[in-house]
Amino acid sequence: MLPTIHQFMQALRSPADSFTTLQRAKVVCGSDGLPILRRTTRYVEAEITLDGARYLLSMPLSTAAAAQCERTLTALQRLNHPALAAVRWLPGEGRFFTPEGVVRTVNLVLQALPGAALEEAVFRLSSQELEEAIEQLKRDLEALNLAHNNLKAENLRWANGRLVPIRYFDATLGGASERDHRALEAIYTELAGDDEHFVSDCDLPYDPIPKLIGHKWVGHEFEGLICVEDTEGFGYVDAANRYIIAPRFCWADDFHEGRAVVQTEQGMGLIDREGRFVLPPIYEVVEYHAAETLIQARQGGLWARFDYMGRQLTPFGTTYEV
Amino acid sequence: MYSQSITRAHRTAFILLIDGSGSMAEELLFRGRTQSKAEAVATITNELIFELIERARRTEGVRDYYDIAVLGYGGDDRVYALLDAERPMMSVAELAAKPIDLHRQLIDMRQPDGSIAQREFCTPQWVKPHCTGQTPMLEALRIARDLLKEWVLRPENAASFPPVVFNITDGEATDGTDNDLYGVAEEIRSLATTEGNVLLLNIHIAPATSTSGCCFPSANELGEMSRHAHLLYSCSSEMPACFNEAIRSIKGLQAEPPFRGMSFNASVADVVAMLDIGSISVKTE
Repeated sequence: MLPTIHQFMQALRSPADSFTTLQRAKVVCGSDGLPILRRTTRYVEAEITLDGARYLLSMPLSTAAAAQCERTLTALQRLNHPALAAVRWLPGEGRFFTPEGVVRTVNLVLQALPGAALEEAVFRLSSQELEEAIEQLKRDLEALNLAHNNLKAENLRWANGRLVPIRYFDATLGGASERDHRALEAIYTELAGDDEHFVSDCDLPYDPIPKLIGHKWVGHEFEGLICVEDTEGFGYVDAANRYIIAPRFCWADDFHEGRAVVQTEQGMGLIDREGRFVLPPIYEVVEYHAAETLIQARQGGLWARFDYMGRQLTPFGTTYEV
Repeated sequence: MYSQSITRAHRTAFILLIDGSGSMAEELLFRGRTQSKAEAVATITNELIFELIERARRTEGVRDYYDIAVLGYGGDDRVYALLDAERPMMSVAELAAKPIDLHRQLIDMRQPDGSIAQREFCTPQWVKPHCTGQTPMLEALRIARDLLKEWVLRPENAASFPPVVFNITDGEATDGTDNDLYGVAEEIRSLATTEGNVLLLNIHIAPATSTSGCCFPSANELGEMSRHAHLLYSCSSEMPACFNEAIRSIKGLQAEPPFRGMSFNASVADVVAMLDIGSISVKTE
């Protein structure tokens, strides 16, 4: 039985507990802290970053979809062409539990997201460049003898001066598809409008993340929150640069599993996503190891352990990190 | 039977009946944590609503694949709409458009080495824990029956996948006898579209010595469960044979049908995953 979308969402927010090889994955979240999911009839998808690269992680929603996807991707893995984005079928990647407490695994699909989404990149392409790229893609698909069968703007990326299709779940080998050609022509008609709107003469680097201006220093996004340093101290903003936790700390770390280590003039502590102290800022040092849910704090040179809710588990008794 | 895809042309309906009576304040072990029955019910209900909304979501927004009603029962023998007091039943797109609260939930995640780690997640919350007063389950089932009677009679729903009723309770009704409950359950199950009869699924929340729940039990799995569990089992629909394969993949291949639409201390959001929601635009086979 395949997991529910709710279980998939939970796994994305706790990858170290829920995935076999994607334990370091970071899911792209909205400002509410919930993963941004995309749905089709047969798949649920989320964008993740892994070791700095962007991927699309997909879970089939039915056994029929899973079986077809596995067949398709197994066949495609024999192809090696710059027009194909890297895609891997990950058997048994996701782990979840049934009501009876039995562990079950689920197969997932990991697809590289090269370059930028076509719908975003198109604003710096001229009509001619788009037309040439579409013709190149037609030739690529014919050379590969591949029919994608689901070509639309949202299933195309712009990378290294060419169009790269993604979401090959319904692709078939054995001949390019007239339907693909018609779809590409429809994409051209839809996107290649008035060239006055194109800004191809401005060779600005593409950056889909809005600039977080007005800060002395800006960190990276973790769990929908970005650590920033302002005149008042360190705090956290969302992707739209709205303060979620006001700047008031001498120092602050990134969020992992809903907790972040911070430092005030009184000492170090641990906060939750709303900026409330789970461990009060009274300790000399706080160490938080998210993967093991291990929190250690030092006071008077002695260490003690705490749980996720800030409850003390061991007395202050050792002179080293336990 | 039960083979119609759920689409905008062939919508279906879901009714969730939520026990909010005083007995729901009792504590039980649910998913490894001690909490009130009311909290467990709210968790199950919110997961179910989340699943229903997300299954209907597409790139352009939530599609009107079904109508949803969420009714609470409790207090002074009252049955009340939990989503909109004026309209008990609304489309899933209308429900998705309503503002929601985010609820901070502490969850035990099992680690690869078998140990448990706590994680705190924010989850959408449509229904909050509620526990006060009586348990007018009979009246709630009657209202569900009346809503569905009207729904299945609409011509546009005649060939739809039949509606599904989820009744989430600790099973202790105070406004009728066991025979009354069985009778109204029978009336609900006898309502039908051309695709099959309405499915009535009971989710029983009760203290237990075992930490794990179970779902879709067969008769021999009831064992020494309470009288209430046996009553809810009798009131629940027998799951159609087309679901047997999916249910066996949850319970294990050794499980033998027929299965009842019931769960014990466990969500039945898997039922939603078994349904064929949405049309497939890409045909390659």
